[in-house]
Amino acid sequence: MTMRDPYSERQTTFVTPEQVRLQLRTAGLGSRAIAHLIDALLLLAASALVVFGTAGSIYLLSSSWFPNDGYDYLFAGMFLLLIVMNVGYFIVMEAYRGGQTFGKKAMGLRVLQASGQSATILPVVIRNLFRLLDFLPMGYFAGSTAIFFSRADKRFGDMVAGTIVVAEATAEQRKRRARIDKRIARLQAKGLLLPDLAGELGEPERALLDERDWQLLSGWAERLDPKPPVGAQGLEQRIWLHFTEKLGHSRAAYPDSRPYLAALYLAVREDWEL
Amino acid sequence: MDTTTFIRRHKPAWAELEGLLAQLGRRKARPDAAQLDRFAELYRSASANLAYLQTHAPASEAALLLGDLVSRAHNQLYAGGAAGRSKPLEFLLWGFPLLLKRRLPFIALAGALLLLGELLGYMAVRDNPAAIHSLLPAGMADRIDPARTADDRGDINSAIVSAEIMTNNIRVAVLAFLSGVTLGLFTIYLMAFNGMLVGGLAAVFAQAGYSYTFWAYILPHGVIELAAIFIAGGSGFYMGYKFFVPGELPRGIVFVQAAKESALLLLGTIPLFVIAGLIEGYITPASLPLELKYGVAGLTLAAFAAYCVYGAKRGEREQGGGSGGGDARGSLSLPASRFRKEGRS
Repeated sequence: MTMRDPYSERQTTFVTPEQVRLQLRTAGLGSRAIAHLIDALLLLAASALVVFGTAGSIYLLSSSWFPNDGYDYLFAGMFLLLIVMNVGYFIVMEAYRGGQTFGKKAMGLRVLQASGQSATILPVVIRNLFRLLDFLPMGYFAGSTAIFFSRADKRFGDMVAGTIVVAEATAEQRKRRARIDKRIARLQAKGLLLPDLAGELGEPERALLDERDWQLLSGWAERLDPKPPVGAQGLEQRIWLHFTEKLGHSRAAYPDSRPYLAALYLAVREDWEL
Repeated sequence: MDTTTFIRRHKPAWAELEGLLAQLGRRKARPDAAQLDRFAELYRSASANLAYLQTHAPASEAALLLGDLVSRAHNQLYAGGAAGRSKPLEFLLWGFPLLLKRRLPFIALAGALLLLGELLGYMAVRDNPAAIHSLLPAGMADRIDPARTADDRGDINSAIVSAEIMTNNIRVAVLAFLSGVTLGLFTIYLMAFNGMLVGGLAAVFAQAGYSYTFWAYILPHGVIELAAIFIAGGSGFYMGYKFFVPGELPRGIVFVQAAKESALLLLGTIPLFVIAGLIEGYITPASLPLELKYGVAGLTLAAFAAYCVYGAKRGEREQGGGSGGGDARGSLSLPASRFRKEGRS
């Protein structure tokens, strides 16, 4: 499974007061960059709205685009609003909305303290002030380099504030699940008929499947491809052979490997996922 | 028990925990006692389940996902004293002055450096008027005309100028704080350079014989502004100091803690910059008699000093009664956490 590729493995561990060891995966450069891009676009849109709103109201009030005087306060207010908005957005969202800006939420990321607790206002303020430093010399070069070399994917702001950005396994799984569902639905629309396996699989059959079988099956589902490369077709066949043999299904009843495996995946998925 | 059976048996409880978690996570969540009890119970059982899975199926996807759930529940359950518990008003009234008093040596160092820079800048430009060109950006030095300082500057929109100057100053202050990661080295540069700028300008005006006018146009806002810059510089120096002199704890931890205290110090300067910006936008350029402007400067100085002295006194009183230790605990304990503790008790 891609989730546990050794090279993307960057974990941080802490122990809860209940003496349970929790492992969190820190978020890498890519997902964080995308999250920031989303946030930046949102802020850009909001800023444009403020600027055009101000310009529009000035035009309505004075029926001229560039009045000579009398609108200082509007301008100053706009100026301050823009700054407060662009700085405050990250701080307020990260401190009071569970460590997630909209972009981070979309990517399934969360800001936590390095101790595993929710980030409080001070660390959040610090890590966001340090954006200035991480941005240097341009485009978050310093921050990206720091993330690249840091053991827990920390940019400078994270190092000073003692925070980490973690990738939530649940969000990742939900996304993968939706992707697989979409693929199977697309195949069904193209005429793939799924046999009804859910009713047929009883308790004893389900118990026959073990951890490795599930990994095999979900790995297959993840790589489900409408036009598989030539080599992969034989593999699909072999997986089909494996499961029909293990579950004692007659191969004549389920002659096609793909619909059989898809139905099997959908039938047993709930047993393995949360 | 094999993993599937285990998962199937406990899944409803996990789903319930997930649901409760979503409910409690809402901004205006008002859970009742029964819900809270249930939440804690579910969290504990999920923790136990996780421990089981980690032992018997450590590599499984279920262990990973359950770990995620437990960690989110853990964050929700142990969030006490986190976001929203700090008391901004109390901090402003007496927490900030008290913190100022504790960091006085660092703030004084920043102030001394800035004044030293000012002196150097003054002497350099006095001896060699062309030196001002190396201090100021090209073009700006040419536009300085001491004779026109007191002219009515009708074309300048005070509200806009006020807002711009204020944000620019806050930026310098933030930079002074950030430069703490350079262990205070860049802070030295920032303080000295900004001082030289003011000193150089003062020399230009002094040579034209407009010293009295110049300071009348600097001091009304300058008193508060300089104080805020000193404080920001002090916050940067404190971080550097804590890195070199960490005391008993590991350097990394102490540095992070110092950064938090310094950030608090920096946040406290924002109201000062707002006040300074307002004065700079409205009072400084106004065509008032120069004496009145010096009067304003004196007034702001007195008000600021009174605020510091009174606030620090009150702060010591509040802390003496609250945590019964006051200064005896040394400078390592985090003021922010003390506020929160008192807020709850």
